[in-house]
Amino acid sequence: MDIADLSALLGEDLGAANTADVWVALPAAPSGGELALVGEARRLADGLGCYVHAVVGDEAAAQAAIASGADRAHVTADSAAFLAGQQPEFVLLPATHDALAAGLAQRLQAGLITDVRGSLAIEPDTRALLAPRPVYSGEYYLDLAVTSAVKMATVDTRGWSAPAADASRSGEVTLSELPAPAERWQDLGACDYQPPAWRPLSKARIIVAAGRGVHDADGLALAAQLAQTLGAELAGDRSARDSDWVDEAHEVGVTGQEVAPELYVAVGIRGDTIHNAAITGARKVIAIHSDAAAPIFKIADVGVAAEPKELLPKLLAALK
Amino acid sequence: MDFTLSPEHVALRQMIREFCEQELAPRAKEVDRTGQQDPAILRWMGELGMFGIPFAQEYGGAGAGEIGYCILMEELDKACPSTSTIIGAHIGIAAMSLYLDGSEELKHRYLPDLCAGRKIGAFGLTEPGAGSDAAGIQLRATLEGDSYFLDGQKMWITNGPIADLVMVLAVTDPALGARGGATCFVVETDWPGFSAGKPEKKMGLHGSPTSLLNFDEVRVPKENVIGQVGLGFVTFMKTLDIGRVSLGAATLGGASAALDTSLRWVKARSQFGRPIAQMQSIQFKLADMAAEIEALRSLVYRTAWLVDTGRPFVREAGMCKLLGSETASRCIDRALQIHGALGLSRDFTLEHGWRDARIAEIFEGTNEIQRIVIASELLQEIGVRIRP
Amino acid sequence: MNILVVLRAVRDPAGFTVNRKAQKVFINRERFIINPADRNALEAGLQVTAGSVTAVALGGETAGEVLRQARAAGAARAIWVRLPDAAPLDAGGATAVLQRVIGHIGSVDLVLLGAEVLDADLAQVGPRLAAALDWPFMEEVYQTRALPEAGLGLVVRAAAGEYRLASAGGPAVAGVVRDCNKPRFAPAARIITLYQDPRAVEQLSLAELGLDEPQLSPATTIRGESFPPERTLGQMLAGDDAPHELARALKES
Repeated sequence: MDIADLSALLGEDLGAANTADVWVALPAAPSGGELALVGEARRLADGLGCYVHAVVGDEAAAQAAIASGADRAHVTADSAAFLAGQQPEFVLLPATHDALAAGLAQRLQAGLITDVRGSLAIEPDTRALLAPRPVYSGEYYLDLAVTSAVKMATVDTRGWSAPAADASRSGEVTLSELPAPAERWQDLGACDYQPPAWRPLSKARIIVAAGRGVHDADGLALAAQLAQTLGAELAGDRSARDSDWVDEAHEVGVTGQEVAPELYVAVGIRGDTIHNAAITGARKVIAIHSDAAAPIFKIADVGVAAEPKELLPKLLAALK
Repeated sequence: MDFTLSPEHVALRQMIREFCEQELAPRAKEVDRTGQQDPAILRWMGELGMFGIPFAQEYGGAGAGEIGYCILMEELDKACPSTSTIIGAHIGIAAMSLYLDGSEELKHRYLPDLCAGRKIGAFGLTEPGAGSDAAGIQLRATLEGDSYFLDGQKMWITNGPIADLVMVLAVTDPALGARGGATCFVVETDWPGFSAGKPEKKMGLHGSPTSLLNFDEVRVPKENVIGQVGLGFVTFMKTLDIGRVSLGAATLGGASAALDTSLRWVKARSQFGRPIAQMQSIQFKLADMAAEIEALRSLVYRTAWLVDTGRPFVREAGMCKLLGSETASRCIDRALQIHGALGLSRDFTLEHGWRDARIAEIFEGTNEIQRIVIASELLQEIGVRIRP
Repeated sequence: MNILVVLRAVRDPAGFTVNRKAQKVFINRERFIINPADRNALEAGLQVTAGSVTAVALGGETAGEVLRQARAAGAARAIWVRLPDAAPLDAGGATAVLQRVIGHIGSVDLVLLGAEVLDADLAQVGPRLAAALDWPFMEEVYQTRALPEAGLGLVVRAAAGEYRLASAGGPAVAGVVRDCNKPRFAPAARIITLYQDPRAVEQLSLAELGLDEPQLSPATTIRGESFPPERTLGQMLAGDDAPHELARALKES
């Protein structure tokens, strides 16, 4: 028996959107991780016994959303205005759309948890939306609860893998006539802004540091490529400085700079006290060195005992 | 007893500390290596008011008093002893002598530029033949019409090569000598006849330029007398007395920087299978450093309070300088030992700190003189006058 | 040009350590600082030479303290909406208060806030406030620039990684990126004078803004704290899969 039959039996349109539904708004051309958010919505909806609606920008995304678990997909050029006209109870968006979500939350007088990392849950009696939210760049989490009538969350989907698409799923796709929201900002052209450059390592959130283990300029270039891929600042240890690969402002060590990034990647650095004492503030340390007995591995969260010049090309490929 | 700093002093310390950590400390090794200060940094410090911290706002100072000045010197010395020495001589003795005894006209003429760092000051007392025996100075100031003509030399003058103004003590009445016959003058260094020698090559404080000052019949208008003719020695001794408090604060900064550096190292460095923080020989050194530093801190800030509340402070000031300089030398030396070979590396900040600290036991009145000053005050209380 | 900068006092991260094993935050040194991105927002506002900056903060004593720092750095005016520490506002509540503050001030041309807030889910206040006022919102701004024909341009980052200038042509709200500028230091004389002046920071109560606490009852509350799993050091990856597992470890960070 499907929804239509059940509706006829009960004499009410169970297919109509109602306040108990979970809505997911996705950006144009959603990534695998963002589609996985539909799966998360599905999980929550199954727990409540309600529908999942996806709000998307085009038909292809609509089909992908349905294949990922949505019951209905709505194609619109203005997802915020569209949702403001519905009566959603739960609304999820990817964390890349925090600002959109917040503006919508204000219009819907909804509580909103942004940048959720971890599992969403709905409290059985109160229907409060519960989620953990990182503070101090992830040092710890606040467990938040939204208790307003409309409950919203944006979710950090980085690292989420695309859901298995179930082509057998079907669902209604509606097209909304809403025009795209008016552009309120005027572009006045390119400009020459430069971020402040003094002591870059002290502000860097991700650092890739190279040592003697990269051997030569080619190895250094691979480390530089890794830095660029990760959006990291390139640094070096004392040996790298001795070889003039980096200047003092980019030397990691008690004789150079002390650093406290969220992620520190040590490539070809053996890890003596002079170096290690300067990275005690790093949240996560990843090390690559050819010698499995190198002291760096004792202070690294994750290590690979491999020749950097051999591993880095493979790593760079895997990161694409 | 309320030992808390006022909210404005807490906020002042926060600003200065942030500036020092962000801008001075990272440059300190370079300053020691090259002997060059970055003029842009000094200008910035001037704009922030660091060249006139204790002086009243009506003269262009920040109005933070002696306590504020001690806060400044402590934070500066932690970050860069060369820079703290430049400021210490500029505020603590050069501008201070003018501030203590200059006429209103003279103060309004020169203090605003000094407080803004637009002009750098130096204090000219020491001569080749007169160090601890300050009364033995021979720089002559001869009155002719409404000008004095200064002739002679001063030596080991901090800020000598970079000073725009020198507060100098000269003998105006040779028959009376320094005591009763000496006068202080404000000399502008671009006046004819004045020249500074080449910067001295010293063991430490490479970024704090020091030199001879040559006076070849320099014409100084009589309006530039600080205080009264003949009473210059009193002015200079008063200035040196108060200068000792902030010097104590500077040594406090140097000592506590050495302790902070050591604490980070002993946690990170392992030998014989454990962090060296676990070894008693290290723990005892750290405890000794911390106790001496705490004692010095209480002494310095209480003495600054004595100054700011108009109470007698000469004995305590001598103690600040005496204890401070010896504490800093001991603490920095212990820190050097804790760091092992790394302590000697010129790529590590401790090494120049060790060389920079030594002078504090010598200048601004050697520690021997301080002991005499303290003993003199003690004995005076029981009716004994000592003959120096 | 009247610029309103919203500041928040947060606990200094250098003063506490998170013990994942004990599942607890240990406070070593109780110290509060201005939320770092808010300092950049204040600096961006102060850089507008033809402008006048009013700083506003909501909260207890620490809010008053950050406002004094803002005045010492150069803000012409500071408004402290005193709230009990025990009843923190959520983003919706903060938005409602700020909307009233803007009404109280009368004329505001630009609202700047830090684009990230260290200790709470409050970066959403910016876009909420913009929606409440029906003003345009710009998410990540790097600098303010005076435009030749009056008004203010905002430097933003385009998709291609280059920087471009944008203008709203009217009042707007913007989030300022952390570390986009070097916040200026407060001159010593200003610190001494302002901290000794009891009227340096204006205080406003909720009642004076026409609000009461029930109106601001939060839609989002903090139920507790949770912690990342304990760090396990020394985990080694090996074999052919190592590059992929390593890539995942990097991406997850």
